[in-house]
Amino acid sequence: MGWRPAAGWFLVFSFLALTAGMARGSALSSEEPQGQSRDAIAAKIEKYLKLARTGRAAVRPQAARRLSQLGAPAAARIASLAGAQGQGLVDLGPHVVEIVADFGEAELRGVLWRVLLDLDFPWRGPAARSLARTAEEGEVQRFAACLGDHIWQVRHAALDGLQLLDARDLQDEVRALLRDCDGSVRRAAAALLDAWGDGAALRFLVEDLKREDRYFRLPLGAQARFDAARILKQRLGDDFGFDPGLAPGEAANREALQAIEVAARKRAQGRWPALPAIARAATNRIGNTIGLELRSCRRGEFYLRWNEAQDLLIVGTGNAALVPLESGLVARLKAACEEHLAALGETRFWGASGCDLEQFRFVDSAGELRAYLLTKGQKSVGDLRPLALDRLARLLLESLPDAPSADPRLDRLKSRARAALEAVGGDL
Amino acid sequence: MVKTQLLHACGLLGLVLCSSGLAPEVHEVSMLRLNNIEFEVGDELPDWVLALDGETVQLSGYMQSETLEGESWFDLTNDSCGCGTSKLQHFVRVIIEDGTTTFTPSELELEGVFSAGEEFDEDEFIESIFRLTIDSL
Repeated sequence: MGWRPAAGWFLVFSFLALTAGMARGSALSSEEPQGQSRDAIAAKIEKYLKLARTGRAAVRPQAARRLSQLGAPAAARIASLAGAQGQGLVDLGPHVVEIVADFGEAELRGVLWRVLLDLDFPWRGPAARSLARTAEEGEVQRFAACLGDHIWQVRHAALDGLQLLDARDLQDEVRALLRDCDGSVRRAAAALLDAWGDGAALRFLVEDLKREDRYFRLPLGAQARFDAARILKQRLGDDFGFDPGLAPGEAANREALQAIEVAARKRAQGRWPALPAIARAATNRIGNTIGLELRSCRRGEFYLRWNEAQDLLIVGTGNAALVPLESGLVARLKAACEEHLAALGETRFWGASGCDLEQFRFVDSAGELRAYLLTKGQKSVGDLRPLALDRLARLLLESLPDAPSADPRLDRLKSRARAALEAVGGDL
Repeated sequence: MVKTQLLHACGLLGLVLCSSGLAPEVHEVSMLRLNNIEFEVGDELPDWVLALDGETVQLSGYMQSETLEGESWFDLTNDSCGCGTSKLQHFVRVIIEDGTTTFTPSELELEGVFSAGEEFDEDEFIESIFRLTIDSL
């Protein structure tokens, strides 16, 4: 029996199909829908959609991942629920939105870009991450436009997208984010610039290893150290023994910091740029009397504090912006806090779980820190905020500057904070 | 003076109990350290975490904002929002032996028996990798 070309081609195609199937099988792990009945797959899709939306917090991303592993049937179901404009994605929740681009469906990708342009869509961060993780040729300008977004998660994702697309032409735009209000965006920009050959950007990461700042008791500086240490280890190939869980002034860390700086300077080839104030580790430790933390999926995040001893407004995290206030103003605000918060008795929490949050903190005359928390999901809740906190919020807002400013933390601060407050707790 | 002597005596007693193995050694563990381990599903937990398995541990953190009232467990997170929290290492499942949950946004300082390792639910989803069993809230 002689060799026949047709049989040869058949064997080649069979081999290719088999290896492609194996590769796909390994990517899909245990959720390969092949061999399952249509009804069984449909039931799984509904189950995972529900768990990704309302399951326990630790389970939601896993359920969303299993959906993506179900492939085309899950994509079709999500597309039908999302609708052409993507309005249905709101109800599917952030974890499903985060995996939408993984299906590789052009139609769904278009929907994600559409919702990303809708400033009232609550899951813009997850949508941007989904798109960035799967960035496609021809999307450079779309990601570039996201670098100026008011939601830090969108800016961060845009950097990831540009990295995947190797958009080195945008180095200047990326470099501008070394002055970002958000520390994780600055760190991502620094890592990307180093990956593109600008080792001097590591200076920003080395500085973050020195951060010790807190927002009340939240150890934001320590978290920045962990993030910076992880990135620097990736970039430099060594952590030099630096322990981000310990203060940077600990003896072992001081030595490690020196070694890291030497390695980073070597990579920077002698360039060691001066840091803008926003990127410097804070050296002053100013006490806090009153705090208002706002996190709105739609309107952004604000970390505001008022200091009684120095009559200061402190805006942001890390090396925060300091705004002198009229003498005695914070003492009056404190007295108002005592009065309004007394009306709340022992109640400390309002609303239901969700991504939107406002938290009032107050150090009372006895030095005790009290916290009052409102949270909600993506849907607006008419009068979530109790009257006492409404009054307090209005007073605090009045103390904020509202003029345009070159400092993005202070630019029209009152208007932006008011919008965030209204997005979370309702009208003021 | 009497009070100081009493405190010293208590400390000495604690030392004796501890060294004799009657009182457990308490490990103060940072939530940040737990949150920042590098872990993906299927990975081995770091040795230092595994070494805490079965040990008495002190942890400070916040009830995740989705905590249900009247449950015998809740998830402890590093900040009171927990909204960006989606990785397994960002949660410590706290199991209350005696009592149930009442949500509070205040920081909690807890002491209990730590357990490490993947724990699955009936659908084979990992529910937790860190757990802390406490007597009561």
